[in-house]
Amino acid sequence: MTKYVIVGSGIIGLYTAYNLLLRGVSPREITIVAEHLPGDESINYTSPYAGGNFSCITDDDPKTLFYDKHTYTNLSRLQKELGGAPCGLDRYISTEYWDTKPSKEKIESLASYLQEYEIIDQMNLPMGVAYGIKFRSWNFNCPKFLLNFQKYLQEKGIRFIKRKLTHITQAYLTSSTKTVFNCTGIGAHKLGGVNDTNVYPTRGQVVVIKAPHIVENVMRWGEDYATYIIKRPYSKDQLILGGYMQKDNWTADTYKHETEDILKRTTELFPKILADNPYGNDLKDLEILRVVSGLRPSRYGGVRIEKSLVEHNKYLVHNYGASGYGYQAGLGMGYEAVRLALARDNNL
Amino acid sequence: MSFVGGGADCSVNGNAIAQFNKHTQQDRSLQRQAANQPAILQSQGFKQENLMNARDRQNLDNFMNANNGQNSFQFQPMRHELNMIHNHQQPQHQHNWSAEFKTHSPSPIPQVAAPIAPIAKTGSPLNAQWANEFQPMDQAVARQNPQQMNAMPSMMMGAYRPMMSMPMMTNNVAQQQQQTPQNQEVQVDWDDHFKQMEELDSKVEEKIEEATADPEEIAREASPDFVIDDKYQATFQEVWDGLNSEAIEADFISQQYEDFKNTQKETFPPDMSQWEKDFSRYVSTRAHFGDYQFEDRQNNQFLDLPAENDPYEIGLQLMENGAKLSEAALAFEAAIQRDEGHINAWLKLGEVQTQNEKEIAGISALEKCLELNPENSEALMTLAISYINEGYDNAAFATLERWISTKYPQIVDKARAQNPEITDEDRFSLNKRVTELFLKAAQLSPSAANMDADVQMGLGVLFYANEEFDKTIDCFKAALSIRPDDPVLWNRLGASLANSNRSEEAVDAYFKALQLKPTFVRARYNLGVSCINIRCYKEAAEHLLSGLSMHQVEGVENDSTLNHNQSTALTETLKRAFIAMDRRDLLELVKPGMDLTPFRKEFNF
Repeated sequence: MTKYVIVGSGIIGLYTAYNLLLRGVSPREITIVAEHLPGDESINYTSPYAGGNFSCITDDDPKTLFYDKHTYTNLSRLQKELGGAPCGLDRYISTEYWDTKPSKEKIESLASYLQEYEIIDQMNLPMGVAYGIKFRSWNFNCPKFLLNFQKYLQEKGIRFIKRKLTHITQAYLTSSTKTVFNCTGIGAHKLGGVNDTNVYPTRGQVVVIKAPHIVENVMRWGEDYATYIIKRPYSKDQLILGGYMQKDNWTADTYKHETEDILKRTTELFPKILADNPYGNDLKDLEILRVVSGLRPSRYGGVRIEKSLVEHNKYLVHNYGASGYGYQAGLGMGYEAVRLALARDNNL
Repeated sequence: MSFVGGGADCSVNGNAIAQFNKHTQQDRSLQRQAANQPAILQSQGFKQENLMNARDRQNLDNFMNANNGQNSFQFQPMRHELNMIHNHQQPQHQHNWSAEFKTHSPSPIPQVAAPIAPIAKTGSPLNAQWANEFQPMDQAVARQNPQQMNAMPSMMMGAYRPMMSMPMMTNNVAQQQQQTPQNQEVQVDWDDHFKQMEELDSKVEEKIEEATADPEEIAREASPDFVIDDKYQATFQEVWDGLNSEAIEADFISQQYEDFKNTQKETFPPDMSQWEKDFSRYVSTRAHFGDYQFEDRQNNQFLDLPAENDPYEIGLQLMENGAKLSEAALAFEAAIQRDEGHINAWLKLGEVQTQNEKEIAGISALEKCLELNPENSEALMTLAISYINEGYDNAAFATLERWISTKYPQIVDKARAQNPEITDEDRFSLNKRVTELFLKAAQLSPSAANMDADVQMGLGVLFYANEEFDKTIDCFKAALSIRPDDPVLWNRLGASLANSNRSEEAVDAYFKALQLKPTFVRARYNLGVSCINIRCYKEAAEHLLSGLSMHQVEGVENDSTLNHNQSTALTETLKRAFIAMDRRDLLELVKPGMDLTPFRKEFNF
């Protein structure tokens, strides 16, 4: 009987289901209910549009540092269980620059677990950059990864139901449903019974180009901008160029001027894109495959992972608000959400 | 209310026991009734949420019926409710939940608490009583028009055939792709399908039930003498006998040795540092809890003691004399504020706060103790157990490994030499690895005479993490045979019993712990939890309120609890009890730092 129901089939919902399995919960007791499933596209379904890779975009509060670290150090097992890199999860070197040096806590945390880690020499940093590192990152081909992750979970015996809920109580599918996980991301803003007005979109736009000659990541974090180049694994040479961080912008539209701006910034940050392009060295020689916008599910106050009792013996665990770091922190978030859900009543 | 006196306070609890007794005896009959009903999902003793009687099923059907499609959300009352939710945020969530559930299902979720006492009193007309309650609801359902759902149910129907696994999934996918055109058509009777699914499942469960019925358990249920002793002062012997222990030591230890022999591995070249490094990774598999939060100056009378009085010694005396744990904690805090490096004060503070049901505070203190003295074995053991309570299992295993390497270095060195790398990251293999170490240690002292109670405890904790509660119980009983007057051990035994759904025996164990140490807030908390599980909600509330009252200290104003390190466990569970009693008025009063006086009208504590 379905004891655990996960609402939302984005990366957070899938990570949560996986964490339940890791804790020994029987897959037969898990159901995922979502309006959109892997393979679908909608502006209300952020996960397929993510970059995505492991980056240093996140804040330095202890919880987020933990979620990042836990995810980074445990992805290799997940990758293995999904059949290796072809599932859409591979590892490339990442070069990350900050215009303002990150905090001591952040640096120490990263240094403690990032692999092939090195600090870039001051003199080799681009103009305006205060701090830079190189490390072996994790790269996601998001649409592909979502499909393979879902397939893995289904093969284990987890049920997926495509249904739009208008109120969170609808997730208590049967009387044996004990705990519902609310992994609705941007949907938490409107979902009845949640209506989290702290949730807001951070719109991004990316340009996907064909770039067989680039097999690494370069990221630069500025005061009010983010420029990034992310290699998309097992995608027939796609390269993601971005981006924007536009608070409270709900639109799915994409804009020519933003595309041009992205191309300009990214080729300036990483000239190799043009210099080594087999199709030619000008901007016009870049083959643009797609331009798309997505809404990062951000939240004032950061991610919300909480458990509450909603009725006699029925619990609700929230797990959303991961903004632009769902893939890279979600495994850790799921760990925490499941920890809360499975906490034993009695204390030794 | 201070418990320094000891025996004379029994009367307060005597009342609770008497009431409790009545309820448990009555509840037994109820359980037996329920056990005989066919529509049971899992027969797991007293966990009532697993009982799916016909009434529950009706309500479920009503609930599902009301949730059809989008049109129900055009209703005005719905919109009003939604607006209410939007306007009222966190603290009121509980109220709105009930409202929401009620809004979405015409008949309320069954309120189990209220009917229990009257029904049980009638004894054999029990069936009639239930039937009467059932009738009107039946008619109510019949009058409704079950609206048709989307095509989802057809998928679920396919999904619920327990025998099919993979084929079921491909059915789902195929139907998903077809389901869009079907969305508008109303071909499936949601209600019917759900009933069929429930019946199918309950039949399967019934078969499983029959196959695994435990004759001993049935016999135990039948003999009312086994119920809690009416007299509060249950002697050690009675409780012990009741818990059904045989000559534990010889059989049990040899069983452990057998287990251990099965786990021997081949030898590899030594590489200790890799092991340590890998394990230390797991200690940090949890967010940092933060530094210990000391109480405010004005609330801690021990800060103003003259220099020649040692607050640490005072703290020890307080614990000896049965004072409130919160008082002892303040004394230890004062000792630390005089000397930040006072290892034993940190240790005692950690122990006291965990027993005081302030787990996070306890963890902070114990971690600090270990910062100063990394090999402190008491701190390591207590901390490991706190990690388990909080669900940081990997951190617990790593801490237990550290414990055993301080007490039995030769075993750990040998194991590290045999198996240098920890390549498995999953909790099961981590648990296994550490369990092997403990088994070896247990094997070192096979006779009862020199059995190491702490090894047994550690072993019990490892089994507990894997939900192997029978083994846990054996281990804790073994430890108790060496330290029979250790209230902490009794509480731990109780917790393991409770988790195996042996709630009554759990209650016995908790009472034993409280008899030894009436100020043991954690035992009261656990008692509250077990009472909720056997549906004695009022008693649960009394135990929890009693625990909360022990967080109040002399000289702190307003009868309110101290500002920092409040126990969410107690207040959250109290809310559970009030929700189960359907007492929203009481629920509203529950807040951190609340005044307990309003509750004294209705509850004894």
